Amino acid sequence: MINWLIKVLPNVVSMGWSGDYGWWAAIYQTLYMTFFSAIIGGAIGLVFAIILVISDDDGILPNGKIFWLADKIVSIFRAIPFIILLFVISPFTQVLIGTTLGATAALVPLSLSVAPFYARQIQVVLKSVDTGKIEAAQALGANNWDILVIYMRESFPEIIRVSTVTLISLVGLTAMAGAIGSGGLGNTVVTFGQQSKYDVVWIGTIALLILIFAIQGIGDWLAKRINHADMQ
Amino acid sequence: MSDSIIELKNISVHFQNGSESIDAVKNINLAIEKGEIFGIVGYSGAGKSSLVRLINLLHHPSSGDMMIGQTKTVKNGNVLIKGKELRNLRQKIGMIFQHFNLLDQSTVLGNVLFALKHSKMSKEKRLEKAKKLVEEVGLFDRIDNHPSQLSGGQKQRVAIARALANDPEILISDEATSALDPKTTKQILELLADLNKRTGLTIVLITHEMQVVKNIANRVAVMRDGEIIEKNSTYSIFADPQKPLTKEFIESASGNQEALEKILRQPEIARLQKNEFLIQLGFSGSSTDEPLISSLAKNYGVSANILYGNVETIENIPIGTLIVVLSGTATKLKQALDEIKKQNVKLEIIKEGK
Repeated sequence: MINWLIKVLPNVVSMGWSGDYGWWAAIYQTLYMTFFSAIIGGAIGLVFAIILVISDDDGILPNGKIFWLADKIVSIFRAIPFIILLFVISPFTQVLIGTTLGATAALVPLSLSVAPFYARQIQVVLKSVDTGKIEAAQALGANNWDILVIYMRESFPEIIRVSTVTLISLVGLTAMAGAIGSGGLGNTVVTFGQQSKYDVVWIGTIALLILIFAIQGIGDWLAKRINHADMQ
Repeated sequence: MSDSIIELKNISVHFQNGSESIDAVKNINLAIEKGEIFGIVGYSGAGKSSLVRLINLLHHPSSGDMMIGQTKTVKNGNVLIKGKELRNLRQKIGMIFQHFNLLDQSTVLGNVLFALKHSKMSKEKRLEKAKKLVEEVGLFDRIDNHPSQLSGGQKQRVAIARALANDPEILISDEATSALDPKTTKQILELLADLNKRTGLTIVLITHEMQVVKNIANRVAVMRDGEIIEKNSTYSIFADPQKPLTKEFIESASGNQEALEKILRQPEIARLQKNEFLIQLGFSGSSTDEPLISSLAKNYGVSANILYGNVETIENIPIGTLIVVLSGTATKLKQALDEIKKQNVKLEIIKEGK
């Protein structure tokens, strides 16, 4: 068995499971980058989305200036290609993390790249909450906090759905973060691909696909399970 | 001091939509009495929705004064209450909507409990009250269902339970039956009328269907282009409408117009003979008791062929319509018509035979 594996997938086997450059390290770095940048970038994106929705003309606290500012920040960060953002913000990363290399340093550009993407998705989701529900809540004497809760709860299945989409695109971004030595499955595939070691490319790609399908599957299942509204 | 619970004085609502300036509500004066069911009728875009949203200040007026109960809420177009005070006022004004506006991700119980979120009652008391409200609207077996599992009528019942959670003195119904079928509409209106009777709840009901106000309203206002063009007791509006738009609404509710159109298409009416008249008679109140038709035959020898008849009871007063063909000699016919005019009956000569 082992001999057969060595014959068919020589470079996959020689990478080894453990060790700094083994498969487990690559998988761990991908999961690490995806998870933490999702939390940090997701939180920033969510805050911006809420600001955009409530300060909009038809929001509960309309404020043209705040909306304009938040909208421009999101648009600008959304417009910068990730591979460029990696280098543009590297001085900032240096100050924040103390280095510009490695998986932890990659969290900064990953978070800043995923935040505006997520903000726009959540903004669309929150805006799709029927204004009638908001009006009914106001008529019942609800305060602004109650209304924010309604926005979130009524769109929760949709929030799960767009979070899944965001998470999947984030896995894609972690592959590019290899350019700053972040490690991870994507980086492994690119590095070995450049050396024409295609067995690693295939196995690395399969591992990434498994991760993406798992995220998609769990997201779809969860969104369906918690939704009580009529399916559109 | 009047018993008004809602008092609007010279109220206007003005929107600026880009370069377009819209007067949604124009200089309205309206006093709604405590405990009455007040209907506001008009086509969409007449300003009904804007008008009722002033009551709970979901919309702000541009000018005028408003009193809700003993609270002055608007003076010279300035809203006097805000923040917690405004939210407390809103809790005393329930509102139901055409599309129910329930929280889809919450259960029936959850929807009602949401309304009690700011109540001073303990958690147990709130739960008890929410359950009682759900029971009152006849949905106790559906208490753990989500809105998507309910029919339109059931959804509106949940919305009513939710609107009543804080024991409001006023209930605003914004086209609440417009998305429901006739049978369910009737049930919901009966529920509202019953609430009004039992608890003295003041109901402001806006609709584009005269049928709805006919069944339950005590008074009716007809709105067009942001103005109230006619306002009277429901009975007077139906018995003696003044404005063409009011007549149009009433005809749409009674089916008289439809009947007349069918009659006019009949060949014998199309070829009405000499000394034959097609007339429409409108009876109301005590005039419905007089045996008019038989007296025409007895006293004038004029025969009356009844083609259509309809009696409706509004606020316990009957209102009737008859469409008949009168025939007799020319002189007798003239005398008969004069006699009808003398009675308390509205006469309309639709067609004269040649």
